[in-house]
Amino acid sequence: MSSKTRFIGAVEIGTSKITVLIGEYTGRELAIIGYGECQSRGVVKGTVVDYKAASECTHSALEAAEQGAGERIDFVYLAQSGGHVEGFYNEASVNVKSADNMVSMLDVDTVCSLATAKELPAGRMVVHNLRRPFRLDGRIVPGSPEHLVGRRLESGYWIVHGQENKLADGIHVIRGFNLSVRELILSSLASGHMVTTPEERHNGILSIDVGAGTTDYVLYRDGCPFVTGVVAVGGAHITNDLAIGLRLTEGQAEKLKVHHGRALIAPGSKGEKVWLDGNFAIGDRQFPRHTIEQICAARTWEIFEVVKKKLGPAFAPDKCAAGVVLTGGSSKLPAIAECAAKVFGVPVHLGEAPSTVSQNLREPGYNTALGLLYYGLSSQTEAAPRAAHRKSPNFLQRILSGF
Amino acid sequence: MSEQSGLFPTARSWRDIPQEVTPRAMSKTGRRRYALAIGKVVAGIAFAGAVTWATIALITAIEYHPRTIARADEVGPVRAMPDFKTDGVLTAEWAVKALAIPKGASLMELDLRQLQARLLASGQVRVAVLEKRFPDTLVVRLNERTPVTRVMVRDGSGSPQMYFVAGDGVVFQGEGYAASFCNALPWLDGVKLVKHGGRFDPIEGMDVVADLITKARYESQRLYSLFHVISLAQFHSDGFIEVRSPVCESVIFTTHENFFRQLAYFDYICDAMKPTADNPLARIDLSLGRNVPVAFRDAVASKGSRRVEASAGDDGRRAAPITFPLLQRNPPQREL
Repeated sequence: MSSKTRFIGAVEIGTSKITVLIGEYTGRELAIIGYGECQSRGVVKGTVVDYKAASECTHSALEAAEQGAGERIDFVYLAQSGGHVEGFYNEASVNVKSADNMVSMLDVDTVCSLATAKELPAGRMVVHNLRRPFRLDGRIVPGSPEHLVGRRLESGYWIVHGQENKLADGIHVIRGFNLSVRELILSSLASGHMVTTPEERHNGILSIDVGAGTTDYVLYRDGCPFVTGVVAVGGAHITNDLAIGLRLTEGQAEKLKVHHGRALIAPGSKGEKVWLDGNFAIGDRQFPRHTIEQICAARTWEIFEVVKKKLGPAFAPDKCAAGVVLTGGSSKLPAIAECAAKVFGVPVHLGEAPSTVSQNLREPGYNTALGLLYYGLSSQTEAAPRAAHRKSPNFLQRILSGF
Repeated sequence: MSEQSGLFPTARSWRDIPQEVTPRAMSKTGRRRYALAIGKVVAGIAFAGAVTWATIALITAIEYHPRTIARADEVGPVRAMPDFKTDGVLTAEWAVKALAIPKGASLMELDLRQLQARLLASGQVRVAVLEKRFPDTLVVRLNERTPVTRVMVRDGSGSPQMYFVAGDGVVFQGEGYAASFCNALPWLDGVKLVKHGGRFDPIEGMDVVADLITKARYESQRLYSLFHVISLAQFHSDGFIEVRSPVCESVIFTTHENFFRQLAYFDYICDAMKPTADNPLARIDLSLGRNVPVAFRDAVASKGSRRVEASAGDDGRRAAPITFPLLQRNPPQREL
């Protein structure tokens, strides 16, 4: 084993389940070598509300993954979601300083610093600074504008921020296992990175991760994340609606949703009845399929409507040529793609992990954890040349980092 | 970038969140991982410290005390007198003689296994540890056997020679023992010594005999002094150890009973009967458990060639088995 080999843990502390993947990164390629999953407790709408319960679940998932991999995790990429996560756009522009109007690195740094220099309200912290493409005299520059000639350099950042104490809770849960969080990655970015191709991102695509407690979305344009957001509504709300509407327990409602739920009302479902369990046991009863579908469809439609509303003018069908891609555990609801297509008015398809991923991890519920590894590594690789300019840690700091 | 970045206000990032948590907030597995991480760091620091210290010590030695680092090509002839230590009576002079190192030989030439074999050949040495201490010293550490009995052997030339027998049965000639120590050792009788390759084979069962002798010495030096001859004639057949002493012609011990108990009986009988060298007892048989038949010489004499064994309660001098209840009257002193 090379000394450069790192064992990276991808942890998603979700509302319904906690997923841990361990990736062995050799510096060139990534292999998934461990997997752990645990039913989530102490997490509501993507936010830790019971530290002890959430810690126990997360740690048991981490332990299972480590045992499966037979290796110890070096550091963790943690998925971040929750209704407290928000974003806004901030841009800046500078006049190119050099006499020959050639953009220098100093110009680039200045405009980037200006665009990210935005103070946040007390208790808020930046999670991501997502840069949109540079503009030089109004024209889009997909890569670095250095050495290009122009007068005015513009840059814009989509700044994602969250509530400090809620961000800290997730980090401390991981730290309680004596692991450090190397990257905090927005869930939508992770899953979006997994289910979209660079070409789709360039053409414009909206990725929606419908989870149990939250729905995370990211709109890509020109190859970059354009807008991100989190809606604190998910599959669990469909279950809850069914439980209230049909007077069922959550477990029974979940069962009905999984077996008979549909995001659009099927034409011939009226008058048809379905059994709760189908085993003719005491307590087993029938429900109208139409009612179940009505409830599921209404809530699913509402989720997409909320997403569309939050996107606002940023979402335009003509600038979203690749359409919409759905992922997340709740995207398994039948006819959800058709439902989304009706709401957004663009082609919608279900996201799939690349064929290189093993079959048992190709469920839509694992795309976030998989994306954490791939997105985390790609973002670190991009950041590496910049980080090389910074002073490397000294010997003592390296030793202390062992703690 | 770094010059520019100081000019603009920057929002706090999630990276500013301190990741340290107290071990109390960790799970059991987390604490275990934490302890392991600390252990690794401590071990790493200790290793680095040890390497640094060794390097400094080596550099110092090379720079300031080059003579302390011996070079193989500078090794001179080995010292005549080794660095000798033993837990017994042998001396450094004996070791020099036994080792027979050629004059002028260097440490590099010495074969320690061969030298060790020479030391062990004496039989008196149980363990010999040899070490080369450069540049010129041979270190010898010995662990010796302690004799428990002695035996007179008439070898091929016909002249009798005294040998010692250790607790593990090894028979050796012995050297360096004081005359008083030798004279105090009981003689061994009733054994057949077999010689192989110039050495006698170890005597089987000597560990049991040594146990009896050690316990006698431990119980009472007076009792031990009565052990003049120990005969193993019936040892292998019946498990009897016969002790001959000035106060009793034959005391029979058995290996099937506790030696401490038998010694206590013997001591009691000696105290009760008060035999002397002028008026010794003929036989005390301690092999029968609670009943200890005692035979007297005067009774033997009065009845001709027959020995008389009578019951307790009769007139003591005439005869009597010393019965067990008598012994039970004062057991604490005997620790039976």
